[in-house]
Amino acid sequence: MTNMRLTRRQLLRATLAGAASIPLIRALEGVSRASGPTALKNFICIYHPHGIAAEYWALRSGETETSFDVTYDGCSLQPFDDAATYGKSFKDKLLVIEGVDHLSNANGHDSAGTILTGSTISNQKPQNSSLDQFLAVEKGLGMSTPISSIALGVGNDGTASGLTLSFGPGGAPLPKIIDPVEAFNTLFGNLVVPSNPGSQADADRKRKVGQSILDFVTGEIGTLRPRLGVVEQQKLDQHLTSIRELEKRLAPGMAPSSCTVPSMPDATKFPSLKQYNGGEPYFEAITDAHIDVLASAIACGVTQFGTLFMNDLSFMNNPLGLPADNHANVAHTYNASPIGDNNRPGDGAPDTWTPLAKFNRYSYSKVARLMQKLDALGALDNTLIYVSSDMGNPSLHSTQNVPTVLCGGTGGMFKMGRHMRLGPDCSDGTPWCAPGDATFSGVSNNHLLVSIAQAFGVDVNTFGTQNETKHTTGTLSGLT
Amino acid sequence: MGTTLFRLTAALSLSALALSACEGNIGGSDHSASLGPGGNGFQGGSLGGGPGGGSSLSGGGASAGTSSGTGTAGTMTDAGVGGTLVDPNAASPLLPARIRRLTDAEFDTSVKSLLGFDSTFGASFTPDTRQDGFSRNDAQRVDPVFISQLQDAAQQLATTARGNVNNLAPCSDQGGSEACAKTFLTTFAARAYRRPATDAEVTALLTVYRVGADGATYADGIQATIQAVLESPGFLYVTELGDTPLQAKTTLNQYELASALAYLVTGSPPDDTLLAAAKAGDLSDPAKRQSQLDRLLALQPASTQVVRLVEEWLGIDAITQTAKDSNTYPGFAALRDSMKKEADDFTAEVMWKNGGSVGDLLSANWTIADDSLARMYLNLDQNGAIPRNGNHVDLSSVIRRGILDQGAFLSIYAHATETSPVLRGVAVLRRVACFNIPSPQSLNITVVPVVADPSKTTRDRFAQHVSDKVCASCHTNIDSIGFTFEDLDGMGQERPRQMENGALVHTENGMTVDSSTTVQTGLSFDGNYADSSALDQALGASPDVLDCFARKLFRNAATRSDPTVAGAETAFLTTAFALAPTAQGKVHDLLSAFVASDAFVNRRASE
Repeated sequence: MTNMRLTRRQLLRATLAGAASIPLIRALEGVSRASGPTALKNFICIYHPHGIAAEYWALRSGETETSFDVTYDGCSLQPFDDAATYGKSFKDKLLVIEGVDHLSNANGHDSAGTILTGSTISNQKPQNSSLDQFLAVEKGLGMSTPISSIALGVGNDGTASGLTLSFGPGGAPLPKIIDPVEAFNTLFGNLVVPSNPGSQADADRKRKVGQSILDFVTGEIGTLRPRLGVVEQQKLDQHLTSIRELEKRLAPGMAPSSCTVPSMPDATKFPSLKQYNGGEPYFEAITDAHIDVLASAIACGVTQFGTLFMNDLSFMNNPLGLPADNHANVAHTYNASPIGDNNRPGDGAPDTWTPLAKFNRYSYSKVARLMQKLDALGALDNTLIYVSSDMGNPSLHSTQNVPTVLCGGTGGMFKMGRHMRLGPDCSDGTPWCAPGDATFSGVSNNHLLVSIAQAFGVDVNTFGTQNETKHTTGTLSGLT
Repeated sequence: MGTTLFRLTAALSLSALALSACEGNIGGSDHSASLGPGGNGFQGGSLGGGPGGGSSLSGGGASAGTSSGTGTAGTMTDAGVGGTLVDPNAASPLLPARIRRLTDAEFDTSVKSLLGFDSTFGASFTPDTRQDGFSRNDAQRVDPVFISQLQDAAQQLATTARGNVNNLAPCSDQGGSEACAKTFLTTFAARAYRRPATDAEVTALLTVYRVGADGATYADGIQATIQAVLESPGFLYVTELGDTPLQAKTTLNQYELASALAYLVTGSPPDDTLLAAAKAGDLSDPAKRQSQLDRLLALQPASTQVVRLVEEWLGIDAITQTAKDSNTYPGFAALRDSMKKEADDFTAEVMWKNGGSVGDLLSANWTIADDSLARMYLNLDQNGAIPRNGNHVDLSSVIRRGILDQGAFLSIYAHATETSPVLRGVAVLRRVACFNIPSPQSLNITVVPVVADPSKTTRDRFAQHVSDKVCASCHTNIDSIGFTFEDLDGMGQERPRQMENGALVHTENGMTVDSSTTVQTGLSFDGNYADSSALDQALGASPDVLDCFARKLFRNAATRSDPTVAGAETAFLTTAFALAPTAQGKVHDLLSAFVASDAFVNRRASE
């Protein structure tokens, strides 16, 4: 009976104590897909705050799409070509895209929700689900793994449109897990084989009871659902999707695969988790732990879809040597040259570019860490990583020319090792144009979302919600 | 209705006037989209963006716009392709039929009511999704993260409840029996679902009992059913569906009315008295609903609900998520909890215990604060005597009036290292006055940040706002309000004080702070103000602020704030505006009007 009172988490801790390698159960084998063998498998989206110092990110004079350097002094993209730190250069698995716009119709602080939805923000939320949820849940690509998708965050567990990447049907925000231990337990907690016969029997009984409870809840939802209108039914449909996630965790175990469960994140490295409540000094440790858990989960086939909402390092004596308030004193002070200001004239202030570039480099260093981990686990080549921010020029809170980076493996779907520059948003004479103006010719990220969906074998030609169909329709040209 | 239209028109024409100065800088579709919300009091940002939101609201904007003589103000925008469909019944005075998931706080109170012991699981769940600042809303979902947390909580709660199985589910049969389980489940499910359980529901729970007790004990079976109930839709969702298939007008059943009333007033499920009233069919009678409201409002949990309403309205609950640069404001961290407690206690005293109005909340010359916060307010050193009158701290000797001059509001609407006239001005306009301020982005305006400059006061640095014609259209309004708070720094302390020409002044960077302004919004609190304490008193006496509070109370009470319920909101405001002047701005009178209304009892079929 003692075991029965143990929570799943406690049970896991007991089982994992001291163990670095535990046999893992694959709940279900991968299902074949209609789309052919080259379709992509894993998708990760990473958000980084504070936009970009374009001066240390964009193509420089004399560089071309295929001939460019990211190792020059100050360049924020350095981690992608830094074999000394990350074991190898990932430059050939990098695709930088300049000139992508997030047409959010909202302030940059509210528009992170546009990154994966391609939707305007209205009523404090986007209008449709995000690409990760569209692929994993609506198109079922994540249903063959124990966890369909996972949303992780650093420091802030809010679900406002500016704090979230993943959204369910109708743009309902999905909460983020900010505790790496909880992330670990969610991803690996139910996949551990109980070691002794007693706990095996206990686990069997718990599984039976758990399934009967879920059957009961499903039945009750089935009674309630027909009484509702279509929009209200969405709430219960999402509830049912969530129940299926729990059911997958209850699925009986199968033979261990070759994968090994990583050790549980060391919680002593982040005694506080929350922003504004003492968590800031641990944000880098939390980020690293999240990345390591996520890489293992992808490599083990626990999930194929993840999002990570990163944070800044706003605290005194941060390791970057930046002002304690990154937001006010790094992002807000950025004073761009024309490349960072939609080609508006002006020299800008070079001394404001370097602190922001330094912060950007920190953000990209975490992406490189993820690539390194995935590579070591043999999972980089079938994992596409989409990295973006909610702003381009952060002091303007501009959602135009947002820093867009694709990296990882694309199975030949996209041509990597390049630095693309899309056309300007406005003609030369009217650099102040904005979405809604006749002179606006910007490229929305919706096209990129369409391209990625197609690369995952999903036959769509539009994605997102915009005022004009031209912004939601068609792929991003030049990717292939 | 005349009153309603007049007030809506006043708000809209202002926006129109302010924005007309920006002509040429503002995209056409954004313009009308942001005006529509303004006319209806929906805030920019919350509704201003999407094509659906724009077009649904410009109906209201159009009529008001026409009557104010600015014909373009309410222009309908085309619904964007792929945009959210606007409910064609948005103009209906009835709210749509629906289900609403309990908030995290309601989960805990509901568990306590059901199981008899405290739960803190809800507080540790993923935070409530907010709408218009309110946690009680239509947006809570059972998503994969929530359901996982819920399952863990239900498991542990059921384990704890099992320890009390002999009281919870007593059974005289040796070792327990299915008959006992059935008896237990019939009453337990009714309590959990806040209505009698159907035979089918009890039968379904008995199935869970059998699996749980199979090869185990009666207590194991009961434990499994308790977990099942805590995870069930009957427990998690408050229904507003009535007993018949949905029609154009569907009447809620008695138990739904009881739940609506109980969660509204006490944040908890209905108590025995209310359930008995439901069983007797009393709740169809508006007078009986009102007397239940009076009874519930006198209970202690109602105090928590009133505080939640006010704090979420003003955004003051965010104080627990606010931090300051410890070099600039070394005292803030130690005072943050005091500020939160002050906001709680002061609000409860004014709005609940005293039954006061929002005018009192905004202009009181006293507060309820602990010694360290009182000393900060009164500019006293460690040993200074605090003038207390009962539990009140007398603030009449200093420049501080009402909740907007308290530490929580002033700290939240400021930056980590400095004040923010913009955040404070926007908060007052949007939240306190329901005056729409569109975001610069939605107006296609490029924002140039105000750079730090120790040789100037904050106000001087922001002078650019009004020298730039584009910015001035909005910032004349925003900054004129924000500047009145400039005597108070980024955590609400008075800036350094000195005498100048026989008068007390405050200084910043060694320069005299000017907190005097002329507010010219077109709203009823326009005028010349020496500082925020003068403005606070004008706000407290302003009919526009009373109206705004009524609108916000409706959104919290109806737990809806989206454009699809604009008609119901307008209908409520028509009632609220007709209340006697002494009743306006009071929680009791506004709730009483809502509870007695047709909209409280009836729903329309939703899409």
